[in-house]
Amino acid sequence: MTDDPAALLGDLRQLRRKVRRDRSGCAFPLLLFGMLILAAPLCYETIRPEIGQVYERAAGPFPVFRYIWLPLKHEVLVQWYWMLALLAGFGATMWWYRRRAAQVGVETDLSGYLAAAGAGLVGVVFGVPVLAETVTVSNSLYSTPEVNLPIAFGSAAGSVVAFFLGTRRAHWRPVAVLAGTVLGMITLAAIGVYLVNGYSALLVIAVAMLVLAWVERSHLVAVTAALFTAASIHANLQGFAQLVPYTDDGRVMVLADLALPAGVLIIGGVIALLMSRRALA
Amino acid sequence: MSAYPTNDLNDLVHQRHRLGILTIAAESKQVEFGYLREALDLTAGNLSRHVTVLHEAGLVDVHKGYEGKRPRTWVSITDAGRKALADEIAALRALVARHDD
Repeated sequence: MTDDPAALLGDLRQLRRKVRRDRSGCAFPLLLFGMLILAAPLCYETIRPEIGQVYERAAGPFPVFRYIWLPLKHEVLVQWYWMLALLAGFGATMWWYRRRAAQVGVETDLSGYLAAAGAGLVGVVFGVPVLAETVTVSNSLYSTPEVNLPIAFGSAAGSVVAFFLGTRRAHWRPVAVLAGTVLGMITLAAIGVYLVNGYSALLVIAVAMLVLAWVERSHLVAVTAALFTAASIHANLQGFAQLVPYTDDGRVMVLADLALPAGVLIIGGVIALLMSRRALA
Repeated sequence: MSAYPTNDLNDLVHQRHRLGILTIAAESKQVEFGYLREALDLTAGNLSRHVTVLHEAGLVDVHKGYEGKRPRTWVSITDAGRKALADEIAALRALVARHDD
């Protein structure tokens, strides 16, 4: 390293790049969540009630993960699958980065990633029913966008302002981060109202991936997370199930919906893996 | 920022290896002693001296632990360390800008 200020700044920039390259471990969470999403359709086996048989659908512990389009053999299993996939995915990501730190000697700070994942999970899973209970409207929140959309946009704007203030004023940071997180959870809950296909877990993963892109300062993760967010919103609002030839097999329909978001993460993960191998070579 | 950017350089932080230690630590939750030694191409004794200076000034924390049976020393940056690093980088940039004018 040199003492010339311009050259010193250049050296520090190179050091920063080296640390970011060495601590990068994004291939694992991208591939893991891609595989977990791709495996989800296996839980969606359809039940075919006999003619005249009354079939009562189980409510389950996490209604935001409920699949409403076909009666399923394991309604509760589907909801637990998403919840456990999220918890196991975030837990495994933490384990992976710690293992990597022990090997490489430099540890990524995942506190922001875990906070975003936790806030996303709580906002989507518990926020949607709480919002529906708290906000009194004549019809459901889904049917009253004049009430729900101002909540979504207002809380999103408030969250952005709070986080911005937190970065500008150090002594406001704890309060600003708390306010920004709570408002972000309200935004996710208001968006979650519209996710009728029951794939809200994708939104939680999308939030976590966007924050991971920031933590890793990675263009690849940023592009993958942005594409994944778009694919997740499409899968939740529309999906490709209606484009496949008619079938009453839930596994095929769900696979048609989830193949794109899972594919985006897996392709991003494979590229990240190849890039990290090339950097080591 | 003062009229003369050199006045804003902090002698304790400006030393190039200490600046390197703070830069690496600021990019991570914690960094291992061996990684710092290799990245900055320093001997263990030299690195230890620089880390001690930064630790005594409250700019880094030092934690000792074991990975299996192997002892390992981890260094993490404090809030004061982050501020000192940001101030130093700003002073260096101001110096370069003034030099370019």
